[in-house]
Amino acid sequence: MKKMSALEFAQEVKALQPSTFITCASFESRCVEIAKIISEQTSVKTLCFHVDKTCASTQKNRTEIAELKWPAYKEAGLYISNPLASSDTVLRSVSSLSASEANAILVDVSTFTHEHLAMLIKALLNRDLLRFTHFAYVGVNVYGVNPSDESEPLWLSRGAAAVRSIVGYPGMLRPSRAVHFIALVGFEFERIRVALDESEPGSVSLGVGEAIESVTPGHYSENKRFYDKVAAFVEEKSANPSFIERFDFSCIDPKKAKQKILEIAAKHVDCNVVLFPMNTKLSTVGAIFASLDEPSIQLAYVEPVEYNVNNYSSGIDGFRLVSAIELSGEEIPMSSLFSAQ
Amino acid sequence: MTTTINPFAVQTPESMTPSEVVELFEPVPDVDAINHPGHTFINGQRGSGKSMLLRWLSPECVMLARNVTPTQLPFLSVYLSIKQAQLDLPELKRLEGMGSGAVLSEHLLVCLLIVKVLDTWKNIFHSQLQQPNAIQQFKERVEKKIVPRFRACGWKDNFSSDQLGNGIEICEWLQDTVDLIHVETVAGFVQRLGLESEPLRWSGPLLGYQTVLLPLIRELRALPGIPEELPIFILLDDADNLNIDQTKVLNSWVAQRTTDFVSLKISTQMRYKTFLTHSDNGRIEAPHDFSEILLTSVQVGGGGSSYEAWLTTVLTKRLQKLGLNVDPNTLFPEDAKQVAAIEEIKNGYRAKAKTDGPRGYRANDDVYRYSRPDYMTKVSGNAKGSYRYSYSGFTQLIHLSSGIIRFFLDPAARMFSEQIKKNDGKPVTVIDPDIQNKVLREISDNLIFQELDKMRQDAAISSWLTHTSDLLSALKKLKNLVEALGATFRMILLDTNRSERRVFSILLNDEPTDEVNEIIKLGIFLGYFQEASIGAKDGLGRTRRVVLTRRLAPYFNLDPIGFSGYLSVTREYLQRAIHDPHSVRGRIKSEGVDSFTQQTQLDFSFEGGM
Repeated sequence: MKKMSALEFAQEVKALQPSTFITCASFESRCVEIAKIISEQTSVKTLCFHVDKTCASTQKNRTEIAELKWPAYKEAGLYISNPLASSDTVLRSVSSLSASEANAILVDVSTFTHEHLAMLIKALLNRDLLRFTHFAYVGVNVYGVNPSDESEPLWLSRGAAAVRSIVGYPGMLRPSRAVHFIALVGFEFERIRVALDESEPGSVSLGVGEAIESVTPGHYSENKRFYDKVAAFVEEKSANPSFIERFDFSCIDPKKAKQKILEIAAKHVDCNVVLFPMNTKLSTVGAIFASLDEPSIQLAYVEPVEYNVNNYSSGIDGFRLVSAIELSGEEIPMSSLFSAQ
Repeated sequence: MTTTINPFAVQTPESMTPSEVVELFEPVPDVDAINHPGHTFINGQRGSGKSMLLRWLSPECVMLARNVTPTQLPFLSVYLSIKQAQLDLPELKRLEGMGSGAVLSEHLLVCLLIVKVLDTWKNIFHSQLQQPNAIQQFKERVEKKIVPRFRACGWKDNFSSDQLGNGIEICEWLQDTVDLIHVETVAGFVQRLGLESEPLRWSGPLLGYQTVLLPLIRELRALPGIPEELPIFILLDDADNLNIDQTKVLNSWVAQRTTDFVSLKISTQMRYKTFLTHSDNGRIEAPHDFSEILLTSVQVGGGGSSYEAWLTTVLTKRLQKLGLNVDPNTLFPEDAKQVAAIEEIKNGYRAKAKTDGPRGYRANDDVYRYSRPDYMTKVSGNAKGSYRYSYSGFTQLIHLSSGIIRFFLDPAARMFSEQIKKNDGKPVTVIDPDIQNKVLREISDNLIFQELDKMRQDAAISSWLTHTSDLLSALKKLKNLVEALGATFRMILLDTNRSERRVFSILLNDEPTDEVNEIIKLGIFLGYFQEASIGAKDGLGRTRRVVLTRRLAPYFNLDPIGFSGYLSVTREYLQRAIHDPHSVRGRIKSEGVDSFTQQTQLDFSFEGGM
């Protein structure tokens, strides 16, 4: 999936002429980058989500987005700790988008939480808007700098407040089957450790970003470091060497990520597959589409206690764009409301 | 005799074979209630051995331990891990508090249990289910008794007894049927529940405890070759993970008089959401509705305490399994210089008692109370000196584990691994006191610096934090309280004028504020505190006692051994402690410990426990 400069991305946006732009204001400064480009290139209705536990930088970024040139602009608050309320808000907000008016919908996935992004995609699917949707992403140079602790130079979040399935993706769990745990490891150990402890899986597949499919080489080496830590933890918990399977996945191409996940899941059809996407939002998009293609997969999330709001990310490393049609291979899966099995 | 395999490695009970469980498991004293019919709650912090206890009750382990056949089993247990069951779907919150929430919750729980019951029958009564008369009867019972119940609960599929093969295949057909009902409920209805805010109609089957599960178990038990009066135990592990509706449903089951037939054995990590049932004003209570087993022992006293004896037996079994016939005291020696120095102090007290009389009631009281604190005071002449005290020796390790076996095994496993590295792979016969001290101090530091900062929580805790703004704020207050208590206890230890210097707990004579109560509750759940009670001085009722975990002894440089005194603290102390622990330290330094606490001398007939 091609990485673009700001200029190239702007040209793509201009050619696309989206009618609607959806984004999420966050404490990360990159949340305004695509918004700025969009507002300069096109005239779009904008829906800006934001998370309720706002901090000063979120407020600043939210204001900056709101003050850009939009013909129509709406905001909606989401919640870290109340998934049902977040889902209702997303559904309500998306229901106001008109399918007949839709030209293209552009979603900046960069700074949604994994959970909220999944809810948004499900809402778009249910309104039959997913086929008009394109996903944009801003890469970053550096993540989670932690100057005060040499023993852990990178942290994105701490603690795990809850482990839960994502609303709309409960899977098709059969009581007679064991749990097979799949995780796309990112830059966090604690959340995956807790997810493993809470799931008590019968077997585990751990994914690490491929070197050439990572946002930057620096990200790859950090990802590998966290992956090794998680893998060591899993091995320590189980004496059975066949308990854990390792796989590589693409952090930058959602289609490849989706295919890999479906490949892994297909090897465990006799299990209840639970999937935790915890790498880039692009790979999370791939995970979401895998769950849409294969509704038996439960998509799950670990709510953190706190984020590294002051140093979560810095520097921009290119833009990427992919359409939902491209991810689904021409056929958008039917809304899951109409296909229970 | 030596070994390089780590005898202290912690395995999850599920990963252990029945023979490993039977070989290594040692029942904790006072758990006899679990072996008999009757509903039982087994409460204990993480690592206290609940899951291992339930695993030990599995039919495979019971048959091996008691050398009996399936038809000779004293009871048959069916195990369900609530964590693995993934019952707490966020969509179900839409129905919370409504009658439909309870019905759906019961239905989902029953689906899971039916599958587990059939699994158990297939595994244990495999040969009985293959007998021709059993197969015939099973088919008849399914056709005439079980399927009609499914139909009465809304199941509409076509059924013909021709679908049923042998006994195992009948079990599998029933499991597949229930599997599909569960899938339909979750993937269909529950998913829609999350995506639509308007009320939804569910027209699928709804299986109930009394309507389907218990009758099914009765029919299974009535099959030829299976003991007709066999008590059934349903083991539910980590029931704290149920949501509020599911918890009330389970309580309603406990309230039912089924213990002559089915008993519920329920494990919790002491954060069970409620004891209310779904009926108006209904509540289950001990001992009327259930018995309770508390696996966490606050009584880690001197030699002969039940926890110490039990732990020694467990460790000896583990060591012997690997051919290591060594006493744990030999494997974990205390620092020799420290032992000699403390012995010298002890001799001093004995000699002084002979000439001047003992300070306490007996010479041995002085030796027991003051020798180690005196040594700790002596070596803490400067800041670094505090670190010259060595946390080593089997006795200290036992006390530092605070009554939870996991807190012994984890550090011991780490120590063993480090010793192997130090020995360059040569077998381990002794674990160096330096290694013991280093590991215990690291773990203690980690408890304060990392675990409290990155603590994992369940959303249920956030939901009961009504007096603290959020989880992060609550964790900070907990850290403050822990720091204040640790610092206070340290100051007491160093005060040679005090009659009892080993203080590890506080007595709550004044009822704390709701905010402080919440923080204490959080601390208990996270394992920083344990709670006990003590008879009130006026003889009326009991007073709450909150004990700091001894795992923090190395961090605060406290003496972890033996029974200790407690501080009777005021409400003001606690309120200050959670908000500003430094002011607590400052006031104690300037005005003394008794300025807003009141130490009480411990009566050695103290009972402890809840």
